[in-house]
Amino acid sequence: MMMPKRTKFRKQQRGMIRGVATSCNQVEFGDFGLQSLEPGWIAAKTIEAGRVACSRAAPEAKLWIRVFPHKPVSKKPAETRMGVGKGDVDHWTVVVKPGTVLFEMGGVPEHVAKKAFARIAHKMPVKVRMISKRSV
Amino acid sequence: MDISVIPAKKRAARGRNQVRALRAEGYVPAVIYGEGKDPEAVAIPGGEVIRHLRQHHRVFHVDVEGRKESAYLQVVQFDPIDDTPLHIDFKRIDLTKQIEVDVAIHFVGHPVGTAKGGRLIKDHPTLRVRCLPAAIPDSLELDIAGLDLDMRITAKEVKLPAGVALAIDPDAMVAHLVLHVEKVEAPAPAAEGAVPAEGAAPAAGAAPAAGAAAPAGDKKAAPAAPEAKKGGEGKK
Repeated sequence: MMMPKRTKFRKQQRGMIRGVATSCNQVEFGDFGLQSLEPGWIAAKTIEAGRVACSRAAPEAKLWIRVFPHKPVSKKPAETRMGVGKGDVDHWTVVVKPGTVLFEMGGVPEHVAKKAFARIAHKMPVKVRMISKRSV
Repeated sequence: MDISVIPAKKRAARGRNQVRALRAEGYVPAVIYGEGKDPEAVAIPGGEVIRHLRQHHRVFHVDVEGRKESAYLQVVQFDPIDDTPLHIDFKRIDLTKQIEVDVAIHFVGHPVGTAKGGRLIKDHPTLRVRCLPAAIPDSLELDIAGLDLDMRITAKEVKLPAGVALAIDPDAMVAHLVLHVEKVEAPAPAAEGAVPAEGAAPAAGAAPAAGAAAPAGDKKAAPAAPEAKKGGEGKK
């Protein structure tokens, strides 16, 4: 699973997701993309699940993962009383704004990409849609 | 390519709030620049913009309150969610001079090599060409049905219409097919996964893998238990 090699700070506050994506909101590398329509957090294991789903649905496709889980999410152990500091880092997520392109695909016709993206979409915790590369 | 006339009016609205109000009235803010003249802010009816974009028009006579300017559609900014045009850049052009533009390549057919495990890589989805503004093609068709494994198509093999010339290296690769190999994760050898016998010392210099379980008899080697942070034990 994807996670940073090293970080400046071990833990982060949760933060808020405001506005829409002003970058990473277009298909840049492939022919088609999967774009988020909602704000949310996507865990590293969810990204991996999407990658595996795509490699099984369209093995001949070239897949680009446009997001990286930079945000550590901490969690306290089960049956633990509150207090005594922040919990340990449990997993890593990517903060997604509406408009962020999550995956891109190339080298396959549209119907194959559509099928593969539908498989990925089922695993995503946000609403997504398939978009094509702009010509202008 | 025919040159369309697109109506526009001078725009006094500047800044985010005023431009938002302009968009709410159904106009798309735009700017016309180039040819050594001052840039001019204009507003274009949104319906006209969408109609011309759908027809892939790129060269226009922009009719700014009766004065026509020949312009090329340089950049269109879209809303990332609802795909409405937010702003347009027009670049003034001289219709008698050649310009360099990027034209999309329409790949036709399914490469034969994909059935043999090949993966199509599009190195240049668009091609930079030089031509008169009136002769800009909508797209360039490229037949890739005969593309086999380890074959490539270069820019000079793309058929260009009359009056259109390549503006990039003719030997630049446009598309090629590479052998796609599935990454098969080999199972770990039994010797590596085996737990050493109780009391047996690990080999010198062999660091245990991260997350690997410590031998049963060596409790000191186990990582710090999470119970150490329980609230009840944290009295100060």
